[in-house]
Amino acid sequence: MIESVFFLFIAGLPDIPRQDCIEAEFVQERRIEALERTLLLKGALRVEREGFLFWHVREPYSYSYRLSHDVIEEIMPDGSRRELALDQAPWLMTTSKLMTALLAGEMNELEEYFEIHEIPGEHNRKSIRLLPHDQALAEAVTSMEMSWSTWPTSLQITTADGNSSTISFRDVKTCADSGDEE
Amino acid sequence: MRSLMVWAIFVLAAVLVVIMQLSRPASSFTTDIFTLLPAARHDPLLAEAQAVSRDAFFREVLILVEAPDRASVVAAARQVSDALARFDWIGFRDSREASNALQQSYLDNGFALLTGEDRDALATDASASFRNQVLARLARPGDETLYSLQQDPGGYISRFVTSLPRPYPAMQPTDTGFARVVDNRHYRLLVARLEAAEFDPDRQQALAGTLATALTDDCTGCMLTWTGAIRFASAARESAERDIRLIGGLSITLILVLFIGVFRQVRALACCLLPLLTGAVGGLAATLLVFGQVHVLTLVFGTTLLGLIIDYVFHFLVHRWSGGDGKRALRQVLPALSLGLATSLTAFAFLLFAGFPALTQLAVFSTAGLLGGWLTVTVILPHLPVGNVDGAARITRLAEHHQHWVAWKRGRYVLLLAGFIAALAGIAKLEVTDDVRDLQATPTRLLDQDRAIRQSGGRVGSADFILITGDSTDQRLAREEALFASTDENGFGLSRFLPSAERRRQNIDHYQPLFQPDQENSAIPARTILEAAGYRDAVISAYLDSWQAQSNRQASTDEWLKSLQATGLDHLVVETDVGTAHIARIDALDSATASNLAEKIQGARYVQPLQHLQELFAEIRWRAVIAVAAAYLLVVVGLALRYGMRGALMTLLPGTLGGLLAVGALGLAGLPLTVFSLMGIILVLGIGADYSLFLRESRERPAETGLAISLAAVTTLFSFGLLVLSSVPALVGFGLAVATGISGAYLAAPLCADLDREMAK
Repeated sequence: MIESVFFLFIAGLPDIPRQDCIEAEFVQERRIEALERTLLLKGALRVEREGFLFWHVREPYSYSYRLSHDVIEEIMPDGSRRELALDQAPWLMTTSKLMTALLAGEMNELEEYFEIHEIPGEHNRKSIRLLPHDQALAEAVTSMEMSWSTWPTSLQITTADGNSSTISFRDVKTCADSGDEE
Repeated sequence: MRSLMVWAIFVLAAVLVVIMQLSRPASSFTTDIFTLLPAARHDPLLAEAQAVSRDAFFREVLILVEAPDRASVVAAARQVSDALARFDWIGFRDSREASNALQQSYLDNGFALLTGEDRDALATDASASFRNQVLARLARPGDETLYSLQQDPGGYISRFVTSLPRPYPAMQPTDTGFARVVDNRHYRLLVARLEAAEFDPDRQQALAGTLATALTDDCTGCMLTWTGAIRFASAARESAERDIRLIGGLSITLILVLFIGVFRQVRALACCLLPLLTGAVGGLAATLLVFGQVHVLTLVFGTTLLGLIIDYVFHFLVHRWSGGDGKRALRQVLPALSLGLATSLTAFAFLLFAGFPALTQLAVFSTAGLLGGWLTVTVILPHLPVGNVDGAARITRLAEHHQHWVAWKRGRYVLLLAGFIAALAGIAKLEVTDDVRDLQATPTRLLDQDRAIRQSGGRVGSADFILITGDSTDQRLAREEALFASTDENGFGLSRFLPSAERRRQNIDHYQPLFQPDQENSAIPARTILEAAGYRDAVISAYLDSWQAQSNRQASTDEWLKSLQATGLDHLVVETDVGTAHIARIDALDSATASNLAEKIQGARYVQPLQHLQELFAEIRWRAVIAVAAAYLLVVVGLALRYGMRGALMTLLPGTLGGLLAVGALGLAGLPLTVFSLMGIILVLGIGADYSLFLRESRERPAETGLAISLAAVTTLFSFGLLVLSSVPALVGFGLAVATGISGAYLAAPLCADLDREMAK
């Protein structure tokens, strides 16, 4: 579900022009009851309109996650690769379908699972809250909040088991601006 | 008097037997096709498996709701659920409750569950694999949410559960059914289950009516389509009722007109009905007495063959009417009727010894039925008060007029010749098939809707399956695992949800290097890996203790099976007195590949129910042909004793020619030869023989005999020939075979008699 939120940026939230591809650095703080301390992950991401997501963790260990139309490829911390067909991962298959719809500028797929509420914010800063209305999802994810100004700034996810995750984005730019190709 | 007593005893005995048998608690009628098979091929386990598989299909109702947005489709789905809630014979399985129960069961035995990939990875390098999965789960942008990090830090149970086959792979389960969004249209698939396979017309109509009005006008742009065996059964019933109204009404009207036009009396119709009724009751009684049950197919085919009785009735009635005396008329027709009966019984005798219960039952029914009909015609009809002076004069005039038609030989030769030329062309095109789907008239619209609904769910499926036997549940599960391991395609079977005991033990043992490291393996302990990942000590200890507990005591397979009952997977288990089997499917494979795979696994065999039925019908067809052909040879010998060889062949020629015409007509019409049309051809052979015999044995009154044959032919056409108007393909073939065959035999009968006389001169 989380990947799908990234594509809201691409789909064109209010005041954000639709992009074919964006890249960003991220810092993710995961507060998990099972862990002694807050887990801090740092890395980079790339999101493309055609339904591509690249999530690369650099610290505290290396991990990469690449989601395309019908396959997920992971590069595990020990460097080994793992490939998974989307139809073997129904949650992720749903996400891919959400991506395609979102990139087309339609939020129907996301609305299938979430109510989307705008949160009043400061000047130049806007937020939305996604509340799952599907009971099965609500038993896992309590809410998601996303904030942005010119570019996305943060994404906070709260799960039903009391854990939470906050992702902060920096150096957000279009892929064309970065001159980088995957 | 003696003959009257015989008849009375026959009828009384038949009625008593029928009453006694029908009053038993067990049903006297069956549709179980396996009762028609020889005992050696009757496999109770296979029969039960097919029944279970069929039952699951018959009880399923799929309802697809479509709307322009999510809120509308959810509201529409709820409207449908609410509308159906008032019926106690249809309901929705609470999939979430079953799913929750299953998930808990899996959590309690989580270490016994691994996907093939995880199993291989742990076996190769348990430490590296476990570390990768623990860290990846923490780092992944999207996480499986089935089990928490405390419960399943490596995500193993989650991956096992998400790898399970889903009933509708193209859709996601939600609170309001299975969901999908395509081209901005929102869909919900509701899966309802009937209490039983519903052939009750009232319930069929209630369901159809409710679903037709389930969506309110508030739901703009909403659509509802639905499918299920109940819908096809309803369509078949409506089609049959239309046929009965049209064909039955037309048939009865025409026959009434004929009787009244010829005999000017309704009593004459009663004379026709009484032998038919006696024959039907006699046939039913004999079959019930011998077999204890009668198959529906026997009733259908048997009553068809009783159409021979119509020939006896008309032959007698015409002579009775014109002769003015019942006994005298009987003397005139008795030789012909007796020979006709003898030839027919000879054919049925061969069916009796065909070695196939289907044909044996048919033989018993038809033999007793014909005997009963013949007895009624020869014993009772002569004493009934039918006929009068005016009637006699009219019949005589009709008979004399009829002779002009009979004398028109050139016309009859031309018609016959034209018919045979056409028949030859038809025979060259003839196809033979035993497709049981010809038994139903299924509207194309319903078939298209059914396909569209199932494709939207991502699963079309078929009736074919693989039956796996074994001495124990675990043995069957292990065999099923071996079957699925032999192909890359996903299989659906119990072992996907419940691994065999051996597999479960192996899975638990794969973790051993992590949880019980020793000097022999250099694995990094799970505790070390989890500590490095940042897990609390208490969480780690609880996780390790859980593995130890499961390693010490696995849940038994029977305990697991109980936990799966709520999921509805019990339809994959077939239990009979002779053993238990599992049903498995690999839908992505074609029949040949699946069959080959099954052959390589001990205890597994590929079952094609439809194919099996077709093979059964094909075998019935072949055996019937051989039996009738053998009977014909014997009849030729018997008739040769009376008429000489040439005379015997000429006697049988009209029926044979009629049969060939029937086969040719089927080919020309593009209809296949099936076991149903074959029954029509057997009827034609018998009736054709009767026409010839009547002409031969009634030469002193050829006009009356010719008239009787014409009336019998027309009545047969009105009774069976009109079936060509049916919406059921099998009946269309039957009707066409009878119509053309009877016409050919009718045209040929006097010609063959004349030809024989001329050759004798």
